[in-house]
Amino acid sequence: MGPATSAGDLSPGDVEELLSTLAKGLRAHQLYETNNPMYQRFVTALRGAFAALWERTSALELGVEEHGFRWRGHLLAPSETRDGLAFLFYKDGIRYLTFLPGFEDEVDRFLDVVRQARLAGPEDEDDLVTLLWEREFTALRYSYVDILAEGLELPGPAAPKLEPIPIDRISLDLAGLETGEGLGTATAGSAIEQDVVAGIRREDFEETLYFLDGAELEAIRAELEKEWARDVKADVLAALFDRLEDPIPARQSEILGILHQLLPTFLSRGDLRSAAIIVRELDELLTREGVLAGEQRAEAERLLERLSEPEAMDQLLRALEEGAIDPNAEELSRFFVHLRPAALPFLVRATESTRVADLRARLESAVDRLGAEHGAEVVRLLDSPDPLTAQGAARLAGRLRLVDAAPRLAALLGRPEASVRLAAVEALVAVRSSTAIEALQSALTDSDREVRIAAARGLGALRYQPARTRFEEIMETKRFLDGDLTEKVAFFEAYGSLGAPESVPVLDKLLNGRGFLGRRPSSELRACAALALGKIGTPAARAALERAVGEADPVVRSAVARALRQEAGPT
Amino acid sequence: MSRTAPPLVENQAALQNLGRALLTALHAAGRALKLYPIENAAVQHAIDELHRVARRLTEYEGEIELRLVGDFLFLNDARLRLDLNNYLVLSFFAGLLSRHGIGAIVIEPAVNRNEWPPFLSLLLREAGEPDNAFARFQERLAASPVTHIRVAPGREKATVELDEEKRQAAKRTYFQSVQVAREVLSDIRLGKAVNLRRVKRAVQSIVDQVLADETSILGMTTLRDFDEYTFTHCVNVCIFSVVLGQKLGLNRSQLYELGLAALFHDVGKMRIDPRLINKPAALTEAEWKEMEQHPTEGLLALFSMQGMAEVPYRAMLVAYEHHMKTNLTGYPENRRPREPTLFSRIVAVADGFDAATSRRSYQALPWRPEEVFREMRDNPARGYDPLVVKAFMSVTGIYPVGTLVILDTYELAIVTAPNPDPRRIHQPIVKIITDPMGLPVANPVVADLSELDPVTGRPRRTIIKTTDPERYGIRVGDYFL
Repeated sequence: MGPATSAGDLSPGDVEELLSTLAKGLRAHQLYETNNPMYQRFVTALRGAFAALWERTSALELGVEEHGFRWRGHLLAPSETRDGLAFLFYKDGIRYLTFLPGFEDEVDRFLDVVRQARLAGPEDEDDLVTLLWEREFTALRYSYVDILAEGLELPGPAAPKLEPIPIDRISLDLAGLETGEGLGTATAGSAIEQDVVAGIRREDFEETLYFLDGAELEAIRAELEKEWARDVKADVLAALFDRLEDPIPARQSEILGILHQLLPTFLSRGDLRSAAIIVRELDELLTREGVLAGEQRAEAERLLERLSEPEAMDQLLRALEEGAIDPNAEELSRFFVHLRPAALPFLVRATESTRVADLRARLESAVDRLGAEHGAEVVRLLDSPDPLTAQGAARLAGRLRLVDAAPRLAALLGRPEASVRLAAVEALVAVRSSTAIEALQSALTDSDREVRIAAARGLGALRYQPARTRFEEIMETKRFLDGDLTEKVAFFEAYGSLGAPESVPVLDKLLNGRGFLGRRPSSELRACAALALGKIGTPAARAALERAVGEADPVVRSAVARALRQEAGPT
Repeated sequence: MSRTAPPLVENQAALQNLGRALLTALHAAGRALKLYPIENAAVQHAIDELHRVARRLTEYEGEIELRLVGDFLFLNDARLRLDLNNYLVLSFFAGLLSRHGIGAIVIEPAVNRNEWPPFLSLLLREAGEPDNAFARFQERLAASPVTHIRVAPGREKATVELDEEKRQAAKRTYFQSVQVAREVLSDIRLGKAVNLRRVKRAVQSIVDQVLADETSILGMTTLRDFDEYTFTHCVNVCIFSVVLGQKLGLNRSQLYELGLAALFHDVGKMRIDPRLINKPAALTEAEWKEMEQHPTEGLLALFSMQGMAEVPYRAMLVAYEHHMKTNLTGYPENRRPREPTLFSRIVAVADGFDAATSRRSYQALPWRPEEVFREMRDNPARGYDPLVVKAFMSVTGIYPVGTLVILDTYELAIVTAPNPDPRRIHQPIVKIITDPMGLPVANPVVADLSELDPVTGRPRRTIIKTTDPERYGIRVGDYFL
């Protein structure tokens, strides 16, 4: 039954106008993104034109010709060139298009298909017919010339040639005498009564043996869900690596060639999980003796090395930075851990240079695993003249607590870049070796305020009491006393955090004592002393603070109250 | 041989989608009417939707008939495809129809919205006595305001004649696909670029054929050509796999992916020495070893196939895993954990069935279909997925299309279709080719083996044996051309 193609009161001009709107929609689809207002405008107009059409006809059937569309004998949207819309359909074999009510809801999909077909070259795997088939339109019907049938010779109806069959032969067959399978002579109509008669069994009549019950249908549903969820790439890779272990050099070379192509494909699509499988498996195979040898071994090694080279790393890091690929921390980590040390400079630099905070966190977590495998390389990177690399290496050394890195970290304190020195101080705090602590004490007088503060806080956090005298020396200097409050607070709190009993009288004197002519130190210094006493937290320190509870100076009083609260609170 | 002009092919997707939408809307409206009074907004909304879909269908189909035939539902001449996501609506609809002995519902283009509630209410009512359920329903319908929806009784027996047009379409699809398989596999052997557009079209045609009328295309798998075994085998496995995939609930695009994978399952053989592939004798142990490389070669061959926009990972796994058993024995050997994909397990069954029932260079005597089924089902050492085997048997029936059978009348017959009634799986539709005296029948008669003799109340004919066509010099394929 064909479509009811009543043309209603449509005129050729109406259909021509619709085709023109369609052509405009196609152009808009080619030129603009789908969220572009221009595109939206044209597509809305096209939807409207089709919706309006159904008020006048129940279907629009168009013949497709080389130079235009044919509607009720009229050639519409004619075009002598091969750029015309009709030719696009014609060249792929489509001869009739029937638009039906509801097509307005499928307009976007239709435009997309036509655009794809326009872009496709003659060698591409898809043409309009395959594309339309894949999209499965509800309100568009089409007829096409089947290109597969061109030149095909179909066999005509056969006239089976059959000689008369002697009835004895059928009897012998039934008796199984020709094949020795016999179970006695079968008589007509007796098959069902016997348990097994010449190939027919009672179970053949047991339908449950052949039909899927509810539980089986559920099992199939579960199987299907599992099937679509499975990682088929991982399965293919497992197959390739299984076969890479076959001692067939030619096959190994072919597989390595495939892996060589797959790796950049995976990386370009952000599929670090699959890329990680390749590098992990290759790494593992290279550690096993005798699996890969000679040229194949060298090729596998080259593949892994290439991945860590500047060009490859640059590509990967740029894609990450631009968000072109967006793997999670675990995926990054699994991939990075198999890179070669040559990749480390790029990665540690990227942890410093990225402006995407979330990416930095993922990169750091991933780089940590690679750094842990190659500690010596991390230490070597501390000498990098590039400030970002040195800085990144310093932070990595700190996170990994690389004791061997302490001398190099200490040396970084001589670098002109404050950010490098700051990273070094933070790493030295984490490393905690004697060399590190020595270096931290020297950083207390760094030219940069942030470095000084970080060093002070670091020593405080380490509760390194021998540093007490160094702190006292600095805290008496004019530069310190004239410095800003933040630095003073940091130093005093760090001094207090050292926890040295000897510090209490010094701080008590500052808070409660009077100097020459009964003068007291500044409110700022007294407040700082109070905070430091709060950090010490011994009974003597508390007694000193309590003596200042009734202090008239509001700055000091507030600091004392805060210190007492801090002391009472959890440490 | 006749040279055919390229035919015009009409795409059926729109009808399928609307047909499914109609079933869903009937289901929703029926359920709403069951739960709420007619005034309820949910009921009204469901009726609106049902009417909207029915109108859309009648606008370009004219009158529409929804007919239940055995397991299947036909919308006019097209069989509606259902999958695991919408089979419940069929079960709901079929239940209502059976209750009243209705075989078909006919909706006229002039149907109006107000006719739906009384019609659905009648369907939802309890039926009368089973013997007169249909008559009682018709009586009630005539007394109702429903004038543009008619019903027809269930058919006593399924349509047995294969529609000639469908058969021709199936034949064209089959021979085109064999030609494409020949071209593609030869190109791969020669290291030439493959015309994927033709491959895609061929697989899409097979999927369309299976979805429209699987019996016709299944019949074509009997046209085995010994000289073309490699190519016809690929196409047969593709057809069997798509049929099986449909039974398992795969949707159209998944069936296409499965079909493509199945068509390429033996692509690795193109990288094996052809003298070995065509050796007309048993293979030596060393030769088998080489032959067993074809799954691995298939995996690698698909990697080297140029021009694919997407890497066909599932097809690669099918090529690689189709000789792997469920317990992971078979070949190739696994060193890493593996579970063959569902596609691989489907293709393994299709491949095993077609290979075992074919005459090939190193298998002079093919197995009978039911022997293959029993072996696949009952011998776990064969390593086929039992659920997939069962699903396959449920599609093909105990006696697959093309099986030569001896009837209790001493007539020889060829199975042309499984019985659409699942309870009659052992009573397929057959074409009788010799009479009780063994004389060839000039115009073979199609018979439904479930048909009863009104005198005895027993089937007119019963299968008493399946047999080997070559024993009688019968070319089964000739009866499907």
